[in-house]
Amino acid sequence: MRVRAWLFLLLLPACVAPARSASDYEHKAVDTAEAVLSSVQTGSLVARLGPEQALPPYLSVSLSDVERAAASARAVFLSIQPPDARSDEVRAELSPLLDRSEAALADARIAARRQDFGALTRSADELSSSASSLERFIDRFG
Amino acid sequence: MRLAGFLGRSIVDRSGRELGAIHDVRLVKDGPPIGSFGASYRVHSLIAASPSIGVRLGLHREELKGPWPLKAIFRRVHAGIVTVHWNRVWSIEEDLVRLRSVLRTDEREVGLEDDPMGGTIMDAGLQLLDRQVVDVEGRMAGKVDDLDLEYSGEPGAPPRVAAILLGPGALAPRTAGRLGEWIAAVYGRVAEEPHPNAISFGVVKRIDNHVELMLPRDDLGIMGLEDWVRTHVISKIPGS
Amino acid sequence: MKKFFEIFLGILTAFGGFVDIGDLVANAETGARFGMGLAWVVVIGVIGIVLYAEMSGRVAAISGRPVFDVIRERLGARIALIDLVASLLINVLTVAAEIGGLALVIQLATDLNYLLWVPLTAAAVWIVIWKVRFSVMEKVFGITGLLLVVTAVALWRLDPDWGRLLSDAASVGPPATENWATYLFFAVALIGAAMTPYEVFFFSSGAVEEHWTRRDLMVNRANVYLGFPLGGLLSLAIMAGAAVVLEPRGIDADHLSQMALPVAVGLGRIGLAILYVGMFAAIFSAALETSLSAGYTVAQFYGWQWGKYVRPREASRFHLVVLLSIVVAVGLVLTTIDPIKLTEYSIVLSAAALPLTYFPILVVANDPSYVGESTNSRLTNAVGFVYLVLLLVVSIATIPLMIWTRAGA
Repeated sequence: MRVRAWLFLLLLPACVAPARSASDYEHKAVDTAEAVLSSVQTGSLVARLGPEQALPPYLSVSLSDVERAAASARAVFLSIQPPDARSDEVRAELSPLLDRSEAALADARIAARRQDFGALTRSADELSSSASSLERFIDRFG
Repeated sequence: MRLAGFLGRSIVDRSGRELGAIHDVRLVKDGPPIGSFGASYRVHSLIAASPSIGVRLGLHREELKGPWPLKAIFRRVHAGIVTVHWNRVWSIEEDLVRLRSVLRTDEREVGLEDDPMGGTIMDAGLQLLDRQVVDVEGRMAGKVDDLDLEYSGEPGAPPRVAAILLGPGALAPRTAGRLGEWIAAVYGRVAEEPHPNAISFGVVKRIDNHVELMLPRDDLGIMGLEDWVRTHVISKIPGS
Repeated sequence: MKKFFEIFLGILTAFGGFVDIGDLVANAETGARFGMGLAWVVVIGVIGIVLYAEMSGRVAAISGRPVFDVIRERLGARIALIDLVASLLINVLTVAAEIGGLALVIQLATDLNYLLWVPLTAAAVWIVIWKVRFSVMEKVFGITGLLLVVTAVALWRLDPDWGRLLSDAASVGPPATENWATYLFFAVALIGAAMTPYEVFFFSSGAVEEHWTRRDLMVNRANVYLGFPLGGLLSLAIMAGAAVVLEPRGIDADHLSQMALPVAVGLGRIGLAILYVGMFAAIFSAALETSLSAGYTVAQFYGWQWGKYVRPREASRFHLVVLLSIVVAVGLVLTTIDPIKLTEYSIVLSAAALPLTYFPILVVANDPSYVGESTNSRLTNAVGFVYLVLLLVVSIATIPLMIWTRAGA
């Protein structure tokens, strides 16, 4: 019994249940926003570390990690069918925030790999502003 | 006859009333001498309880110091332990052991008064089975997977422990039931030595929390799998 | 004097070797989600492992019987076989988690994909097991693991609100943003990480490897009563670092890079470099221990010769099991399952398997035929019994909680 449960659980994270109602969709939207916020906040903090604080590989690896995580969360969310018009609005509001966040994280990652610390600091600002937008979204719908 | 085969079998009296499942076999060290071990262990009585869960833990023994909640729980469970002398056994059947006489419901000890125990007492399940076997050099030589009981030939005398049985031939039937017996049969065909592996009790030196032998393990013909793995795998790796 | 030095080294080894990838992940993730809210669970876990490690060490030192011998002797062949299969599966999963963790540390330091490092680190683990003497192996990696104390130094440098940390640590119950199910699931994970069965399998087998006798009981007690709690403090330092740096920002500790963030913020490059070495050593030490434990448990169940105290050819089946465990573990990691996920599963499943491991130890530590006169004190028995009940509850709750909370998502 234990073995079967374990196997079942391995599959569980891959299953994305469809959203059945507007509030269900909103929950998923908020979850996605929180996940991407985690990535964006990490990126913002890491991007500000600068060359004295962090070793270059650390910057690259952490930014790639969180960029990948944000991209995955965004892709999963966008693949969910909005059940009604209200959900369409939620999607319309969150979607650009997710796009911005992913773009900013990608910029940060590229800057880090190039060790272009000027560009990295600019990404940090962009990431902070994305973070604020995401926080506002979470406050509204969470 | 395998000792572990008794464990788990029901004991019923002459009228068919079930007394419980055998969870241990009491041995006494006053049988005919065997090898260099001295007097062999012979079967004294069968110990049955209903239910028999947790008896292997030995929590009902007095010398075990605690913890008291566990001891209290298991003492109640074992209030119904029945000890039946071997000579009260009428027949040993597929799934049960039948006694000669009818027992009263409150009888706890049957036939023990006829047989004063003239030597060290050992409960096979508790103190002998599943113990580590260690050779004369202190090396590991397997577990007491089962015990071989043999009749000494004297009419009416109980069987004595003749050998320790080890290896898949002895262990598989205990752990896997019917499937285990099949595994044991296959292993017997594949392995080169006779199966199951046996160590005569005559080369046992002493019994502590493990069983100590008088001989080195390589002299006993029980290291088949180990030798195979050594020859074909481990010795091929530098530094072994 | 020599005895004093030996005890001192033993404490340092236990201290530095305490944290493994499971503790790292569990404490960092919990700190990021719940702040210090579950710190009390770490304390409970540490007391539990201290208690049972001391018992298993005492039993092994006096009777020469390590834990799995005891499990088979007291639970019987059939139940012990079930226990063996479960323990082995979890053990191999844990080896995979540790090897994955090592590869992640190297990736963090070099920015080269972790999968490249998996076969190399696994080979290194096996070579050390094959060639290096037991006591040397234990001490070198254990003591280097002490570098993890950098997490505590970083915490101090972050100048946190200590009062707030302490008051959060003393509170029981989830914060407003989380529910009880997730809170308890993380609690179960922390217990699983602190009291993982391989620790007692390894500890008691190690006592026999180092030929401990009654005279070494003092060393046993010192290692366990001083070394382990200090290691527990490191776990708490990791949790606190995450609580201070990650939690307020809403950052989850899903990646090793995020778990290292508090040290990067607090101490910069030097801190990070020290952290890498410390993490590598502590996780390497755990990889050695879990691989050996796979061998110990199988060999001790079947009665085969085991141990590094004999030449490999004298314990061929044992070494084959160790080798196969590492190979299977590598296979698991190379499926590209996230090593952090592997770690999470290993600690949670460990929590489910705890009672079967600890129950026979408690019984045997009271049995004069194993420990002579050194049976448990009444206090040890009382606390030990309470823990047994607790572990039973944890074990029963684990799988339902994991399903209910979708593994803490």
